[in-house]
Amino acid sequence: MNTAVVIQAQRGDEEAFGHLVAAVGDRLHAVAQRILRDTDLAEDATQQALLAIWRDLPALRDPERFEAWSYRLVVRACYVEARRERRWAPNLTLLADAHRAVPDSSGSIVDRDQLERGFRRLSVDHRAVVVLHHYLDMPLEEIANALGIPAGTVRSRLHHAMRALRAALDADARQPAQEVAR
Amino acid sequence: MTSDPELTRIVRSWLEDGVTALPDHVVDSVMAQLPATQQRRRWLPAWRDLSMSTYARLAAAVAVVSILVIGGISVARPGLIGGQATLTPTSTASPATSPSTLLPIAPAAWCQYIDHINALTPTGPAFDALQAARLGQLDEWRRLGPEILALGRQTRSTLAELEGLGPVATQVAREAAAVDAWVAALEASFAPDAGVSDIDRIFATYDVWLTSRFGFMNAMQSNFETACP
Repeated sequence: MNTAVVIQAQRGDEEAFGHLVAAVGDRLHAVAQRILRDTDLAEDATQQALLAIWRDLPALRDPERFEAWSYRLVVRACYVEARRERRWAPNLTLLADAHRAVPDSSGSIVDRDQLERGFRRLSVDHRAVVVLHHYLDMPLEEIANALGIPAGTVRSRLHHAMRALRAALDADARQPAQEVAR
Repeated sequence: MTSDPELTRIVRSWLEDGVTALPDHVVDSVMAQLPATQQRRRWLPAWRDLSMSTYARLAAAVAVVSILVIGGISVARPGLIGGQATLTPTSTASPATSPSTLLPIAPAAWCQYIDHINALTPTGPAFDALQAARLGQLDEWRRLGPEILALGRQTRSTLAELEGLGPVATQVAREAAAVDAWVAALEASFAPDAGVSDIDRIFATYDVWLTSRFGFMNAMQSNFETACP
């Protein structure tokens, strides 16, 4: 991250902020989409997070920490969206993407279906930890700093979430995709 | 932490799927809203995000609460403090620029705390001095404590000036009660038989104060923004 651009944006330079959006926007959106499992909600969350970044940027004392700080704001936006819109059912596009016709290296169709269901049962708190750790490869300590929670809490949430996902994969009964979308 | 490599592999691969690109219409919408979205003033720290160490929070609270209260009074009652009718960013920059009567600790003994993640840079008594007290150096605590106590009492006194002021009256009353408890705990720590546990109690009381202060800060911020558009 170019700290000079962050500093320019802190001073109200909209063009510089545009560069920041170009640099981190995709990643923030990807995180939001994976936490919320809903394209529309993710877009709303990303938009709110970016506006929050713009609004609060002058208060960021260390431009070097911009990226970690931005993750905190996008996760917070995900909380808000999840509370505001209680529509957790996946849209058809996501389901089509999640239910591939052929198995791949990530596991079978059944795995994906069950993972999707198991993940949706998790709270946003737990989802955020899973996504930051397993999608962004963030170390637990860094996640703790980014979310402003103790490292032990991060570890506990990750443990709980992964255990729940394992339980979902191990479940004998698999519901039809139509039920997931309901 | 899980130690299930197969599950980790499956989850990671599953997370790789899905959209990654931020749609242009979202970017366009954000950029279009920038001119109408006011950036946070640098001198108004993000208090909702506070996650500093207890000692840093203690020091920061003493400084920032006092400064904000001074600012609040100057807005609510022009002329009460130094004849200031408005709060300016420079008045919150450091203790040295605030009214000296409310900051009995010499500016040289203060420092700026930096919380990178939360973008918080309060100014307060040097962390080392407070930490030394926590480690059992009660003499040091007693040397520094009275000055902090004086500041706490002054904060309480200043709060009294705000009592009954319409929109923030409730918050002020709650804040005053919390400060009372904190000052009482401070006073207890200066008893001849005081120990480290007394200091711990101070911090426990302080946490109550910290919680109550969020509403107060928000109310005061609104007050500033109304009076100083």
